[in-house]
Amino acid sequence: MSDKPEQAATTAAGGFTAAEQTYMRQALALAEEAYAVGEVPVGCVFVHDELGVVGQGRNRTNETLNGTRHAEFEAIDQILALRPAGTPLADFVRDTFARTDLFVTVEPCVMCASALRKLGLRRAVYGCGNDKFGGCGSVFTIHTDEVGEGSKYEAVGGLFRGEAIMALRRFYVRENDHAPAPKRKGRRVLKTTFD
Amino acid sequence: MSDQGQMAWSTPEPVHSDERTRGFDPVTVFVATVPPRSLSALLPWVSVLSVGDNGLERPLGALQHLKRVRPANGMQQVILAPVAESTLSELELLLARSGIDTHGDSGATIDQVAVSRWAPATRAQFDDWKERWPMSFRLAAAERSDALSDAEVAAAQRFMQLALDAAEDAAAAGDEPVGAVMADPKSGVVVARASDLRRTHHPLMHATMACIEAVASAERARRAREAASQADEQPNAGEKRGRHDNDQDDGQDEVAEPDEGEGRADLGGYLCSGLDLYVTREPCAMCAMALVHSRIRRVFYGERSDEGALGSAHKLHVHPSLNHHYLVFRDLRRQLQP
Repeated sequence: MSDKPEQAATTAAGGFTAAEQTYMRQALALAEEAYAVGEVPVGCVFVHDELGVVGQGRNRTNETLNGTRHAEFEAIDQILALRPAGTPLADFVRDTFARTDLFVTVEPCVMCASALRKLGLRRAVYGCGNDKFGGCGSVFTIHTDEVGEGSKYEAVGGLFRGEAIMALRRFYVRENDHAPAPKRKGRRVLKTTFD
Repeated sequence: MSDQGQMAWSTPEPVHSDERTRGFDPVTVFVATVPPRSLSALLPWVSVLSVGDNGLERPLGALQHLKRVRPANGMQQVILAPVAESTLSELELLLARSGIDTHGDSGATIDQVAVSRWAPATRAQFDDWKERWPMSFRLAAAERSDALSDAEVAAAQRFMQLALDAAEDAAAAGDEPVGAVMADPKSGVVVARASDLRRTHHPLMHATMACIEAVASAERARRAREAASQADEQPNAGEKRGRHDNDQDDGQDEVAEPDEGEGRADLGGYLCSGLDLYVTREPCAMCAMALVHSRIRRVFYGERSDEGALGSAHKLHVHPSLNHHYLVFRDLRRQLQP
């Protein structure tokens, strides 16, 4: 498995290239890592068109006690740490993110969608949509709004959607079983079919 | 601050959902005017009209906030159906079956009346719209909770002044001139204070984001001390004061802990439950959503922003799909008196 991006000559099933599938597999592995430590299972990688994977992250909201520490923010901090001494912050951000794509297992929430816009991200690829918080089409369209700091970017979903949803479902079924008092909805059952 | 005597605080204004700010929005309905003695014959037929596809009665579809009948000049007026969902000839037939002739000399007619499309969300809307057609109204809990007492306004001004000071610090450091303060309204304690860091440190560290992180880092530090003192089985009196002992020169001042001893252990992971944010400029979508994730209680801001998400470009704090709503007050700023 190479970290180098490659333009596959043929498009793989679902309209995504082999390289894109590889990056989303990495993001899914990070989501699994989050699941293993009791975090909401969302993972992501940022891929620079020359440098390959420049940042990766998974949810860390419970560990940090900070509900804003989503996978994207964790990975963005790794990228910012790559800034060479002497390079102005704004220049580094502009030059880096204009050549960088995001692969994230769940559609970025409104907060992350707005953050990606400020950074000047080129493109976001996500697994499943987020019909409660989604900022790239499901609820809000932060990525293409006329008003907003930063620049618009392309967002496309559906790459390994089923895998991303199953990770979330397993998490919420487990959460329910661990709850100290039974919730109103009763014991949840893992659903394995998709609409 | 030589001009302080001429500066005065503007009154903070609640930022309501569109449901609460909209004016009269008409929808036209067919209304039958009938003699009172004909009403009992008509009503059973009207209810038949109102049975939905699922077999359950839907008094008026989306117009359930409207009363069905009102008296008018000795006659009774009955809403039959929205004009968009029926025809005059269909309804004349309906009345004829009830023994009401709309072309005879009984005075019975069918007319079109513009009524409110929406249920009123505020007392003012109710008072206005019920003049068009009687309706029912339940005062929402939200409307009762956004009235500020004099003491709350005074506290808000004090906290916003601290946020303005943090904004000045940001400007002096060459950053975006925005400041934020997180406060516990019950104890009056400032939990965290932050200056904007987007230009000098991190493009996403807007004052609000920095303030949320300052609350989190204070709580992490408190838990670490608690764990350490439990390991030692010796409470450390010096640590108990717990302020300014882990300051980092990053603009995120930990000002005080919200509740010594108890800590914030009952948060269930929701960091800012019960806390209020004071920020000098309207939060953007990123910051407004971060406040949803943090379960903030109320937000007060000073200047409006075209891309702001709490009243200007969006009203994120009352968006129906989001799982946490919070109260927002804007225009809390100090102005030169004319």
